Amino acid sequence: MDQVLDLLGGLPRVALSPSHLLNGEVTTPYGQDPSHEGIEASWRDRAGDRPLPPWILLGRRDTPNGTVWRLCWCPPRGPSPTLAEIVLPEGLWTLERLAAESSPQGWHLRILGSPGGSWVGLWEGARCERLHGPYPSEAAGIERVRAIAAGAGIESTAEVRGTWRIPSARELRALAEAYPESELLSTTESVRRTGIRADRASVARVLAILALFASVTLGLGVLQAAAWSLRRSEDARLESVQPLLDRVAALRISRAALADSIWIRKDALAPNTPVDRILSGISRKIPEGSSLQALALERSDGGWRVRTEASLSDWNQVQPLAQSLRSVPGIAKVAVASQARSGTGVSAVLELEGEWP
Amino acid sequence: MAVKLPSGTREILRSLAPWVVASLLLQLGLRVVWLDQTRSFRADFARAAELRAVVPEPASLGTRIGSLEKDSVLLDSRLASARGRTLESSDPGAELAARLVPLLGREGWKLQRVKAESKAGWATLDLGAEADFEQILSGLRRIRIQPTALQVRRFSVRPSGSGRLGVELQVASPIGAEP
Repeated sequence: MDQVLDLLGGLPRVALSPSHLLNGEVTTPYGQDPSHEGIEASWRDRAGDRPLPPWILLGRRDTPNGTVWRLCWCPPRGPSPTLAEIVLPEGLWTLERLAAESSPQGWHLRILGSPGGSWVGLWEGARCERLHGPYPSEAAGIERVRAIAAGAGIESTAEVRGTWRIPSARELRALAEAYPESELLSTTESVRRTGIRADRASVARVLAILALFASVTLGLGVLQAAAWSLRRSEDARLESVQPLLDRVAALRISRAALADSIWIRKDALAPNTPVDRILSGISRKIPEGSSLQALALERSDGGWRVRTEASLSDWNQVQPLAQSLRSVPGIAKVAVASQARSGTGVSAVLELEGEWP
Repeated sequence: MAVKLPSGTREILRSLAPWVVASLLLQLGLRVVWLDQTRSFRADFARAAELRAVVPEPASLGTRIGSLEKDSVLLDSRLASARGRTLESSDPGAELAARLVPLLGREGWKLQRVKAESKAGWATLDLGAEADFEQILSGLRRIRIQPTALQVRRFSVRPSGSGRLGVELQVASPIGAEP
């Protein structure tokens, strides 16, 4: 996945390759960095007309004559890895690993075991003086470097062992950026490989865009399928209950028709008029010796109205009669419309209203 | 067969190709493919939601059908009852008179005047008679308990010269008519 992202990002692949390590030095005026011409001149002094190989700067030491830069030339040893646009010497990564160790004071050896063999560096404090390797065995490497140090009059007894690990692509790219002079590939080969990498990155980007388009289309397609499925399910449910819905509609129409028919015939459903009960209730309240002379009943809105004339023996019977009539079921209102003497008695006209019992 | 392009053209092509493809696909997606897909699933979701909200469950429909059938039976019964209490003959006034006149006669009413007619959905019987109070009560009770729907619209009693009571009665009964 990281390789795909690197390709899409147009980042170069960086690989390590075995190389020779030829230790040397360049002196510059105090405080100045070594120039390409200075390093090339130093190489010419050492190797004549041979092409200038890549190099690694090991460390610097200020002397009365100027700043002395220790370096390693790294002529390629064997074919370069084909799947990389930048190829660095293995010694560069070894130097990084050894420099990561804590530095004791004075001269000492730093030793690193890698899959390709053992590396041995001669260090003074945090400064690397020489780097050699890889040796098939650690002991041989230590012995060789101790001999070189002794030849230079350096006594080194302490040994520091570093820890090897495979560098990540990001660390290698950082190394390549920090040490461009260490590139093992020729300029022509580097340009050719970078061009191929750029072509592949372009194709990968187009494919990634196509994949993104397809993903969005597929995602929306999944939503489409879900929505279609949901709708189909609801349609099926509607179809399954359609007969029931039709039945409900038919029953509603039928009920409405029945209700209309009943509404038209609502008078036929009303109970028959209980005039006999009203007449009987009134007659039971007439006191002994009294009588009704006339009675007229009419229907009124929601009830009935009666006007009657009662013959009573004296005045005192009028109000008790009216009061007792109020207790008859169905009578809501009793009023004495008039009262007058009639012969030996009293004639009272009563108006009654009520609802059908 | 590989085509060898000039270096500058090749660089331009590999730089522009992703942008051109992205732009074309974005246009295609936004204007055609994704637009159609979005419309389609939104319409389907909306229709499904509408159906889910509108279409009732079979159980509730069954309950509603049961309730409606119960209502229909009840209404049917009431309609049958209403029909049974209605005069259905071609001359409802005559039929009403034919039902009530013998009935009141048997109760002792001495009928003096009878007028029957049918108008505005009602058959009406107007009659005048003589009877004593108990006979009047009995006759009115018989009218009340008749299976035919009967409304007493007017009723009056007054003393008559023969020592009995004079009765004026108007009874109406609804005439059957289909809606």
